[in-house]
Amino acid sequence: MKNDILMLKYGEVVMKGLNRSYFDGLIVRRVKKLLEGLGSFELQYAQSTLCIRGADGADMDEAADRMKRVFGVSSVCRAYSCEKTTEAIKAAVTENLDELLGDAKTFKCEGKRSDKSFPLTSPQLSAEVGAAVLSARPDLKVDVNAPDAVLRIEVRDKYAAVHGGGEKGAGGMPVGSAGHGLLLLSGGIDSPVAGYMMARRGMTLDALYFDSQPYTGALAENKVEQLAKRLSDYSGRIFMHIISLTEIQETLMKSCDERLFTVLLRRFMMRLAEMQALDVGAGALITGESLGQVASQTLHAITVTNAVPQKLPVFRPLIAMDKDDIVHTARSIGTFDISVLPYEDCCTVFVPKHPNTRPTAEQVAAEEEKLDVTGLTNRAFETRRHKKII
Amino acid sequence: MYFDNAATTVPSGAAVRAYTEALGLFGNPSSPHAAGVAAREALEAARAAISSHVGCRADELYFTASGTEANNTAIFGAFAFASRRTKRIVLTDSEHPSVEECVKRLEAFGAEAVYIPTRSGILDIDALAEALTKPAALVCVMAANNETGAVYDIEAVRKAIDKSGCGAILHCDAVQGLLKHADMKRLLKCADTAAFSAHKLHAPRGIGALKVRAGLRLPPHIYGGGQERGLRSGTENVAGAAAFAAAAGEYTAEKLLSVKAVRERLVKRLSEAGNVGFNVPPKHIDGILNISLFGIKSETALNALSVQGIYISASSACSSRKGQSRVLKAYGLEKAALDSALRIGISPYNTVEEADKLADALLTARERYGRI
Repeated sequence: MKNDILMLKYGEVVMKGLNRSYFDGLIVRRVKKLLEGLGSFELQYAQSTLCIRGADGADMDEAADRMKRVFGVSSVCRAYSCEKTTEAIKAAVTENLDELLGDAKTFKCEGKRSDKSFPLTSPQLSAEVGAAVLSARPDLKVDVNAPDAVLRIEVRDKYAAVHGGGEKGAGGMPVGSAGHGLLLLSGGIDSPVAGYMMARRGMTLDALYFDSQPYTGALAENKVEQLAKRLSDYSGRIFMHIISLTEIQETLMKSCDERLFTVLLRRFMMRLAEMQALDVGAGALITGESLGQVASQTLHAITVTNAVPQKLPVFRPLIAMDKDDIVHTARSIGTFDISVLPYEDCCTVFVPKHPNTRPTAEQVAAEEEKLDVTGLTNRAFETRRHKKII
Repeated sequence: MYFDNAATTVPSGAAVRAYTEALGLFGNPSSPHAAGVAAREALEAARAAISSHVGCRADELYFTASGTEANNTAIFGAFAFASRRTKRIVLTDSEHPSVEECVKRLEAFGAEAVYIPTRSGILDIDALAEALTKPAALVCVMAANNETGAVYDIEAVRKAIDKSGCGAILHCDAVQGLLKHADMKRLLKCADTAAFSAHKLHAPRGIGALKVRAGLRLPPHIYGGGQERGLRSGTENVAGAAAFAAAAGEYTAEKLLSVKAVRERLVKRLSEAGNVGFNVPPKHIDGILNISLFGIKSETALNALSVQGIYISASSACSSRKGQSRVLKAYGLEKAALDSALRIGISPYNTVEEADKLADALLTARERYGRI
C-alpha cells in the first residue's frame, strides 16, 4: 500500500442521527463504484472521514478526480499517512515537501489531534514540524498571518496524516438517499443541470427524452445520451426512456391555436412523464424550467402545465436561477459543451412565432377539447424505448 | 441503400482481397531482409498502379494516411517553400476544410488569403487572373467540389499562373475528383501538387496520396525515419496502398457510365415531380448530385430516409456538425434552397432501381413531413 492517501470528509450527513450508517453506506457504495478500474484500494472509515489507500499501481490522480463527484462529501484531500510518532510525521513532511508546499515561499503548520493520548499538544506538534521544515528548507519562512501555504497535520485514531489542504467536494447528500426522480431531459443547457442538482440532493435518476423523428435525428438522440452519460458520472446509472412526440406535434400543428402550441405540447409531455415515472416507480418529475426564461416558463404557463400531473410532485430546481448561473454550473459539470451542439430537439422543431405567454386553464381546455388527448397520449406512450446509461 | 458515397464508400471486394493479402506481407518495407523486400515490392507496385491513374510518374507519388494529410503536407510544405518570396495564398471560396483550415492557420504566420468566387460552381477565372497580378506563393483549386461536384477548370488556372509569371505553386485537392471524370487525368497533369484519398473509391480509410511534381522539393510535414523519400515519415501502410491500387483499378469508364445512368434517372424522376432545385454546375462529376427538395428541411428528409435504411447527406459529412453549408452559400443558394439542400453521392454500386426507390422515398418524405 502507498503512503499517499485520499481523505474524504463527509458533509451534511454527519448531522444525521440513528440512521447515519445508512447514509455512510451509500457514500461508500458510490466511492467503490467510482474506483472501479483504477486498481486496488483499501477503505477505512473513522471520525467522519473516509480514508482511501491505494495499492501499488493504483491511479491516485484519477481516483482523486473522481472522488470530487461523490455527493455527500464536502472535501477531498490528498494526504500522506504515517505512523503516529513525531519522528514519522516529520519524516513524512520533509520527504514530501515539494508536493505539500509547491512553490510557496512562506508557510505555517496547523496541527490537530483527535487522539488526545498523543504526547504532544497541537501547538507543540505544529512547532516541531515547522522546525523540521525550516531545517530541511532554510529558504522558507514562517508566516502565521498570511502564509502562501498551510501545512496540516492530523493525528487521528489509527494513523497520522499530513497534507496541504483539501479541495471542495461535490457536497449534497449521497445518491440514493432521497428517492428516485424522472428527469425530463432535452438537449438544452438547463435540464442536465436540474438533474445534477436533484442528484446532489440524493435522488437517483431516470431520464425521459422526447424525440420527433424524423424532424429530429439520431444525432440529437445521441447528444442527449451523451448528456445522460455525463450526468451519470455524478448520479450513477441512469435509465433513459425515449418517447416519440411526432404524432402529437403534427396534430397540434394541424388542429390547435398556434399561439398555444408550446404549452399544449408541454402538457402532453407532463402526462407522458407522469405515466413513465409511475411505470418505473419514480416519485417525482424533474424539469429544468426557470421562471420567465421562455414563453412556456412564465408563471401562467407553468400553472397550466403544473396542473397536469395528478399524483407526483414536479421539482424545478432551477426555477429561481439566472441563466448565467445555470450556464456556470453546466460548464463546471461538463454538460455545457454537449448542450450547445447544434442539433434540433423536439422543442425547437415546431416553434410558434408569437406564443401566448399568459395562457389560461380555460383556453387550454378549449383547445384540448378538439383533440383525442387520451388516444394521442397512449399511442405516444406505446412508442417508448429504453436505454441504460452507465 | 447507401447514397452517401461522397462521404465515404463501402470497400469493394477487390479492395478487401488486396488488403487482406497484403496484410500477409508483414515485413517493414525499409528492412533489407526478404520479408521487407516483399513488402517494398508490393508497395511500389501499388504506387506504380495508382500513379498511372493519376497521370504522374511513380516517383512523384507519396503515400499518406489520408487526403487531409496530403492537403496539409502540400499546403504547409508549399508555403514554407515559397513564403520567403511572398506570403499570399490564393484559393477558391469553396475548398474543403482540410485546405481552408490550413490556410487559416497559416494566416497566423503572416499569410494573406485571397478567395476566388465559385458562384454556380464556376471558378471566376477573371478574379483569379486579377489576384495573380501580384506575387503568390500558392494557389489552391480543388479538382471536384465535395458538395456540388463542380469540376473547376484547372487547365485555365495553370494558364493564368503561367501567364502572370507570379510563380505560385498550384495545389489541387483531388480527393473527390480522382477517376470520377473523363477529363480528370488531363486536368491533374496541370497541378504541381495534388491530394488523393482511397476511401472515396471503395478502398478502406487510412490511406491517401500526394502527388508532388518532379523537381519540386517540399519540406516534410511529418518527421521521423525518412520513409517516402523523406517527405512523409512513418512505416508504410502496405495493405492500404494495395487496396487503394486495387480499388482504383476497378474504376473504369464503364463504371462512370453506370454512375451517370443512375444520376440521370434520379434527375428525371425528381424533375417530373417538380419543385426541386438542381444545384448542378455546368461541369461536374456525376457521382455527386446536389438538390434542393423544396418544402422539406434537409435534416428532416435525411432522418426520414435514415429510419428506412436509406442514407444520403444534408451537406458534406465534414461540415454537417457546423450548420449551414459555406460551399452552397458560395454557390449562391438562397435560404429556401439552402434549408432543403441534399447531397446524393452515387457510386458504381448503385443501380437504376435504387435510384427509383430513392426518388420515391424522397418524394414521400416531402409529402408526409414537408412543412416549409
